[in-house]
Amino acid sequence: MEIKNNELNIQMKKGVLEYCILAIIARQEAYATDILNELKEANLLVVEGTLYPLLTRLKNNEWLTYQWIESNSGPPRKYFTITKQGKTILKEQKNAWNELVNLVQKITQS
Amino acid sequence: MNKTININLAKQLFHVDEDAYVVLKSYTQELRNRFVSEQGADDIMFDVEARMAELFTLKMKPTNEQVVSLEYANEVIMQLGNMDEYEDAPKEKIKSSTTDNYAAIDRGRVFFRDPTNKIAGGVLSGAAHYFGFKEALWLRLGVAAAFILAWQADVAFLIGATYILLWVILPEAFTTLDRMRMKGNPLTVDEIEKNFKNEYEDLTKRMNSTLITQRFGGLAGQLINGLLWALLSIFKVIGFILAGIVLAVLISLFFGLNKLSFAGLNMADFFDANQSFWGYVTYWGLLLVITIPMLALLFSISKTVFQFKFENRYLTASSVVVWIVGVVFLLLGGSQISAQFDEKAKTNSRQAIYNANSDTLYIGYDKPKDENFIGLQFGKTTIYGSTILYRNIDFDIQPSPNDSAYFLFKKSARGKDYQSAFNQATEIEYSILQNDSLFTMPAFFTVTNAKKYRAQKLSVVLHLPIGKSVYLNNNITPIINDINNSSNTFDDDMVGKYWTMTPNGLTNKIEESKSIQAYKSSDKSKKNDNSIEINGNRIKLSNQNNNGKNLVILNGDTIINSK
Repeated sequence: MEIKNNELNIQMKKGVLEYCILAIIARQEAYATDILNELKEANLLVVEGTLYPLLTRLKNNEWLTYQWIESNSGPPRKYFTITKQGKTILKEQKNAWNELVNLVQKITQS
Repeated sequence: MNKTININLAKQLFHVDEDAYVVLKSYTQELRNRFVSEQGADDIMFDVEARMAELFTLKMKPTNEQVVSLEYANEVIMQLGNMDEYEDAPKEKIKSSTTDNYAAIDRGRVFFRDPTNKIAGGVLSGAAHYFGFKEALWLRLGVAAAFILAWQADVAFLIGATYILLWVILPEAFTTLDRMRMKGNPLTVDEIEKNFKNEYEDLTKRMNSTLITQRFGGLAGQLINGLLWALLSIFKVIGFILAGIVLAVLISLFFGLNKLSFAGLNMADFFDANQSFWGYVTYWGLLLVITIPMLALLFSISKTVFQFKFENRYLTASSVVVWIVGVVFLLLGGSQISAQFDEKAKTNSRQAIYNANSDTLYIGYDKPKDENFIGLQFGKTTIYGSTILYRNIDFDIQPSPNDSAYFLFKKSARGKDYQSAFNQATEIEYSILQNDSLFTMPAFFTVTNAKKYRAQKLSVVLHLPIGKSVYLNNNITPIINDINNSSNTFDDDMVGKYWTMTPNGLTNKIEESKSIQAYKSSDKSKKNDNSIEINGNRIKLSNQNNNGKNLVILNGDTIINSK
């Protein structure tokens, strides 16, 4: 039972990961490790490897773009910023999420 | 002291221990395979490697370490996540991440001898690693059992020799790297499935590659690409059909064992009607030993044709094991069957000759017809289904000990002991057809009561009293066997002639008169002119030449002229 619960948990987190990444980057430009740290703090990410394919996918959808920025402590880093298209998507996802939260709350609180 | 290797992660240089290198290498390889079908795979790889670099730098900075250790490599891999955790499908997520140092090593397991766990040379424990057994014990027990079985069949030396050969040719897992390559990953169904999936994606990608289009560009490239595609598809279809046929044949072989025939021959019956167990064992051994390499060949051909990589350890290992089982079966069964040929026995029977009106017996042979050769040929034996035609017959003529002519049939056969060989020999049935003084020898003899091949052989000897004659028909040549005669004529020249039994042996009537004539004429001519005649050529020896020279003259021409 515990295992099933855990599975559901992971799946739900996965579902919102994309939305969260877009939200983080929309706030301010960020490089992969910034995003990682924030997601890990929120306990949304199990392993780091999950992030990279997602970032690439978002970039391929042209919701994100990046530029190389020199770093003080090491090689240049890829800093991601959200695109216009990405902002539209983020808005849609925000609406969808709020709607979902409302719906779930209605059901669980009634 | 450890060997270190320089690697480059997202354009940054790192020194890593050899074992850490192996782990990292196979991890990144796995990742690459996983994302190979995805758009932007290179980006993903670069990002992951950049993160690895970052993590290594973070880890090593506080202690000012220079080299990435295996421990760090495993920690970083844990942090980035196992392969399973990358996947979107939820079912694999739960698997507890293993702390196995070698978890990431999967490909390229190598057959080494294991020096850390050995009884003699470490061959079997190496094999256990290679084939993915957790314990070498089972393999050792299996080989011990095979050895005992083989001992029974007197072929134990083969197993011993194989072991020593492997001991000699296999390298020992000397370094850490060797041992890691030797051990690889424990084999699980998941692994196989994953492996297969990766290979399949790889194949699909290769098929889709637009290499040709890139090279030629434009319409021509597209055309060539299309053609290539069509060609590949056709090959694919042919490959599937071939594989289907092979599969169908194999399945029918497996299920139709009882009725199964090999070129119309029921092997089990053929070798052994009574103890068919060993017949079956031999048959299966033969089947496995032949078909497995054939399948492997077919497989590797299709690999070349379709240009795909498919290395499945599990499949290879099981084919090898099954093939070895086949060899053992063949050896065991073969030795049991060859035991059925241990002893040889002979027996004789006679066929009397009655009422031959002529003094001359005419002997002919009923040559086998073309259709008698349909089936499997074992020397002079033709086997078709349950019919066995024995042509192992020879013919000889000897003087009769009395004044009657008769045929003596010398029959011989083999068996596991003298008695069964003797029984087999007595069951040989043969009789010569007599029509007045014309005798026809059938092309085959039969063996009543038995379908078993036991190297049956028949010698027919015509015993001829002195004064009686025989005419050998031309068609008897195939079976005539070194018949003694007074003029030492070869068998092939004896046919088509009349021969009479004399106290000196068989004598050709015409040759006899000729040789007497020749003797007389040479005797006569010798007195006249010092010449002899051989085969109508007159050779003259002379020393009455005008120069006082010695001459040899052949047919009037001088061939030797000397003092």
